[in-house]
Amino acid sequence: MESLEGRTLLGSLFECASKHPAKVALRSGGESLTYERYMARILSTAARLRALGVAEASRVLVSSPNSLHIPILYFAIHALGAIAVPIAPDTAGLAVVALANDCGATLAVLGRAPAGMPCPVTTPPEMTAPGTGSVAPVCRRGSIADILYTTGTTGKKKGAVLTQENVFAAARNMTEFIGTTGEDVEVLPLPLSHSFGIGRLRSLALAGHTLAIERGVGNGGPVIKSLLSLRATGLAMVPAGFDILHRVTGDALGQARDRLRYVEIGSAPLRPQTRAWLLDMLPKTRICHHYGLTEASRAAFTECHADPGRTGVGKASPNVSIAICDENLNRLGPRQSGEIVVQGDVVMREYWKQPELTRDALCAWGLRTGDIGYLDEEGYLTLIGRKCDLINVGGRKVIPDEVEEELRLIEGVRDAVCVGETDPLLGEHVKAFVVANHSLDLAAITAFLQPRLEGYKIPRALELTASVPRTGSGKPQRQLLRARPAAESAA
Amino acid sequence: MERESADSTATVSEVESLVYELIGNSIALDSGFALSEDVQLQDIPNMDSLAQVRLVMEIEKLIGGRLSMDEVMALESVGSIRGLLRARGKLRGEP
Repeated sequence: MESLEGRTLLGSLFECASKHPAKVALRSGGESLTYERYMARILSTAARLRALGVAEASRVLVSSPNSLHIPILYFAIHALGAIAVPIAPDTAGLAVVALANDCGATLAVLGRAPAGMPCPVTTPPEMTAPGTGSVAPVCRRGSIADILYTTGTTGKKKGAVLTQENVFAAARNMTEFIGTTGEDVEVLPLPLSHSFGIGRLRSLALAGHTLAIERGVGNGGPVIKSLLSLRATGLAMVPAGFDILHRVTGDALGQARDRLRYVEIGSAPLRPQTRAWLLDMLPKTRICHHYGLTEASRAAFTECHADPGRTGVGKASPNVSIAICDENLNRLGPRQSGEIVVQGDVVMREYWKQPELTRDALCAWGLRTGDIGYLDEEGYLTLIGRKCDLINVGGRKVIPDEVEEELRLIEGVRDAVCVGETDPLLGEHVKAFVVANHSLDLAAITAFLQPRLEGYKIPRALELTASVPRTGSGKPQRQLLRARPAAESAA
Repeated sequence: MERESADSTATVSEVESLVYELIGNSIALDSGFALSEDVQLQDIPNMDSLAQVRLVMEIEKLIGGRLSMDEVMALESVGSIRGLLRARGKLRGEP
């Protein structure tokens, strides 16, 4: 492995394989791969990719429902010094074409080939089938590992460029905090196209454990079944996944309490009732909740048993520092709210071919996250909302999340999202989009909110709507609501 | 796999319409998608985990009670929905 400069994930994966060749690395859909066979499949897949023109720095689009294909393809691409561009399997055809164009893909490995692709397309099974080919891996620490396209809450896709150093650092930090070891068996129902799921795959290369990849959470039953039948010690899932488990399978998760050593949760806030249920179900498990971005994976962590009274997102991860800055990028003190800025070797290099966006995002302190929060005296971070979502009512800033939380307390309200609407006098006022079981009017909402919120925070406009647009991880896409013509969302 | 006999056409349509109704209440079902017995729920377009939870709730509404853990875990295919409904006495005239 002399050609692997310094420490890279691929180098670590090969080390795991040489130490424990017969250990099972991956399980999925009834198939399993030992570390030795996993390495062989990575190298034979790399040989096929190379035959199709993939070389150092080539971009390769990959997409497949969760299976063994993505873990093989991901590291096969890295073995050639090429760049993995994972995209969600439900990405619409036109969007796939747009992403292939944007990253200048050399090859796309997709379940379905949309019309108009600018590069050759092949399928995951064709690429990853067992074979005898091989390559000498070239994987350099400074080269680009992945381009992860993120919609975020803005609705516009941008490609976060992550180097081999970035992805190694993110894996090291999470493995260190969570404490995953080679003895662990982890159930993973998260999509391997998203930063959270890919992070768990990267951690495999460092911890050398066993990853059981599920197609998804399903109705919750498959997750419980795998946890129990595999005697799993680890689980990674978004908060909604735990809510599904609770709703459909009751307290079945508790049957895993003696073996489950850790769970990792992320991508969305953990509701207090979900958190309380998890603490009750899993009294001996490390319940690790992370705050992070595609651009800076796993920036902060909290362990829920260790921080029982706290509802924030935790302290900076190992090797990461977090600062709070004002609009002029001056650092603020404890309990002063401002923009969260993340510094460390997890921070992306740039946005792909977006120098202006990159300049806006990367400052002297690190990555400007666009999130608003504050640190307490011990460095514990509390998240308040998104900077771009702040509503400016005559100079007074309203954090929409605060209004939404109150709106959701109204009987029959299933969802609520607030945005700023142009106001001739105040610049902006609060407009609420509400999903309700029955008809509601502004007067009723105002009467409910008046004792709870300052006047300027109370919505002046209301639209009842069937649903509000959210990202895959459940964050409201307020930008889309602001752009939505009024008639479309009228009840 | 169990096959319907030729003289149980009414049963087949009853089963099909009930399963279509249950799944259709959970997702916007593409009318061109054939729900044959061995179709896995996770392979049905738009059948994400939230839709699968809605499906469980639809079935619970139909049978008037909660499903057991084993019943939830067995819900993997279109055929398994039918098996569950039969076991819960919601299908008449089944062989």
